[in-house]
Amino acid sequence: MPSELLLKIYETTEPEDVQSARLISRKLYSFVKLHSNYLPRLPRDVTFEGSNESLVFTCGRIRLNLSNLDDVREAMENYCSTIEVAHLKIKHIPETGFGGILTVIVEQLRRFRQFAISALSLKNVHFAVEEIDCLTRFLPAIVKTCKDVSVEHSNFTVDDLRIFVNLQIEMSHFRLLDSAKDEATDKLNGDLLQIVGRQFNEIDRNRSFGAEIDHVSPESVCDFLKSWLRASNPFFFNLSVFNCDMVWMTRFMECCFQADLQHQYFEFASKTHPSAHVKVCFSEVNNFIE
Amino acid sequence: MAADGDSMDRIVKIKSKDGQIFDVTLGTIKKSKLIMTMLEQLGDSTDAIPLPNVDGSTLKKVIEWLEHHKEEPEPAEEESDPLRMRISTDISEWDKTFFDVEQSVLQAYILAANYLSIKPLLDIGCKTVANMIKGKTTEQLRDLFGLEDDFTDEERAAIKREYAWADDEENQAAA
Repeated sequence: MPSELLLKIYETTEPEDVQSARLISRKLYSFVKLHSNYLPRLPRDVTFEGSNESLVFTCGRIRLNLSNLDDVREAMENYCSTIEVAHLKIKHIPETGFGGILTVIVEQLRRFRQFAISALSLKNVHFAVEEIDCLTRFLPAIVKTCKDVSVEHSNFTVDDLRIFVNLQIEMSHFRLLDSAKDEATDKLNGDLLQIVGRQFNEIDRNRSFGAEIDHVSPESVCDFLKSWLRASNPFFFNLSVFNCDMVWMTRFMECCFQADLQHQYFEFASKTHPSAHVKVCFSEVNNFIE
Repeated sequence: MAADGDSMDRIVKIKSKDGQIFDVTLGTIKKSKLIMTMLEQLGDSTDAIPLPNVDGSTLKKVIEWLEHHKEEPEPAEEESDPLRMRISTDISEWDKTFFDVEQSVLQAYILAANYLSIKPLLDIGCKTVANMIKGKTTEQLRDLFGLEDDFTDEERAAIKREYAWADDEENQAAA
């Protein structure tokens, strides 16, 4: 059978079936080797984590010390072509020797058709503007599958992450901390809450939503709460908002009062489900809503 | 090309590799992109269209399939999305019975669908084979396709080692 038909057949099988195919015969072995980018691949997490001067690459059982960009390229060539990158984590990139690393990573992700990334975490990373541009140009390719985005202590601006909110995907987890701090962040987080708020009515209850954010207006949180309380099909959520001061809290209480949201000791009962409720707790440094 | 009722009743003659001639209506054969293109090029000629890559018995079955599905609308031209294909394509009972044949016959259907460019038939055919493949061991697959194990012991061991690094249960990403 010609390769294009084999490809069409194997496209809809499971990654394990592709693995068994490699051992059938020489012809099938070379078929899989040649077309691995287009066949179902085993999902694995890929991590780049730095400490001091060095950078460690982890994928499956592989752990490699990388010392320059060529190492990054080579590691991805060897290990990212045959697996499907499920969760991509980039943490603490050393300050020297790795300038442009994000561009290299994105280049290789494209090359190996890694368009099914389900989670993206960036922590303690500061990239040059061109590099961030490179990543944001790649995001549309994965936005459909990527439902867990976590950005912490990084120099991403709100516009870079806007796409995740704009496309109204079913986000399951969103975390944006200690990164961009401006009014635009308030707006982005507000929009996200608004979209999820609307989804309370549309989507089945098997879903859940978690968010950790540090800038959002009390009005947005109040509206979000309101949509949950009135939704016919509310699902579980966990929202943590950090850096809320007394002023924020007071404004939040005012909003709730204006919106006629009644509560007893910050427990809000759902209007549609008697057993469901939302509990709002404030603490010194953060305000935590469950 | 006009797609009104009259022209769909027009009889088209097609000729298999072994010289069998079949009369089919345009309405039946219209799902074949190859034949539609040929008809456009041939104009009003009433000669049988030669199909040197398909034998009579396969062509007969393909026509039977087209006849059964002729009322179904052409699926919209969509971007092929394997992720979605993996979950969406359900196979009807009729098609399941149709494809319940020997592996070599099934492959002949797929090759014919590919040659005649009948996308829905090709899709279901490939999906049927994919379903047969799922969850089978290498030995079972070899039996299914009638293939010989042509590896040496060293090669087989090397191929197994090649992927050992990815074979980490703990590291399996949650689906």
